[in-house]
Amino acid sequence: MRTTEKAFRMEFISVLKHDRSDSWVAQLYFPPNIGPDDALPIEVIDGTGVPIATGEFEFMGRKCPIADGKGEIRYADFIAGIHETPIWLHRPGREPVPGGLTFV
Amino acid sequence: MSDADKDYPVESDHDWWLKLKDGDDPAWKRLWFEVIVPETRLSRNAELMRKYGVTAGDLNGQLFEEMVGAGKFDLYRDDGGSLAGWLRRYVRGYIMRANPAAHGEFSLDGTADLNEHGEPMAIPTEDNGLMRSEAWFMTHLCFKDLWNDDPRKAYVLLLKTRFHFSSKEVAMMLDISNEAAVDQIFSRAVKDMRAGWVRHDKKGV
Repeated sequence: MRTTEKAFRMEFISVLKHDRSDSWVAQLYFPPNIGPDDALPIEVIDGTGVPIATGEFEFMGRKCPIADGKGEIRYADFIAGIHETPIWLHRPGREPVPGGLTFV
Repeated sequence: MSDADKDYPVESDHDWWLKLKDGDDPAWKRLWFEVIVPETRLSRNAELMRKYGVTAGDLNGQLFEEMVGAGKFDLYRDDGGSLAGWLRRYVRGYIMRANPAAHGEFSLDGTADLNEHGEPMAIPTEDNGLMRSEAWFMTHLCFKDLWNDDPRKAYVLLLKTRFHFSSKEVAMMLDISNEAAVDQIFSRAVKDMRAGWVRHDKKGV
């Protein structure tokens, strides 16, 4: 298990919410040539473009803390949960909002 | 992909067409080298692509969405005419229509650099008109279905069609046993996307 020489990003987006600040967009960055124990950085903003100040991104069953819009997940953990659909953003004082992979 | 990756079989246009419709990896790799790359190397096209921020990957993605997603491969007559030539006309069209100002009611050419408040004006980087188009919407709808059915299929489809990774690279990245397994997952993903398209189309979505 290893990434290639080409770095790329996958984008995940939440279901639409009436309050756009409840929505979110997350980018998962795949650095070049990393192995299973390396981390994949995550950047999360809300539907108005503001980085998520604090929260937890539940990604493939793993909860990744988010601070100032940034977090990370172990590459091997991402692969371990590759058959799982639920991706949630948990934020204090708000309902968890689910989302999924986008074709962009 | 470099020229060293030209390891695809060169078959008749008829066989190539059938395999492209099925999302066959070597067939799409051949399309990349015989359709996308030659068009992007033409100086006029290269200039327009630079101007409007279009990449060769974008063109491949658009072609995939239209041909496989919207089923336009069925419009190919298969009467001996060049399949590559037919596909290159579509690619040329995408490049010509890439100008974001061409879809709006005004032209960006000649407009001021600053808005009325003296702030820099942002040039649109997305064609919202196109984003809202039926094809785009349907592609995303079908992709969402694919994700809900099996996320791994969605990852494989994304990596192969959006990022143009080879089956070998996808197998290595997603820890899939071998290239043949990736090809099989990709083929099923393409078929699911096509079936989803038909299903949503019938529902009038």
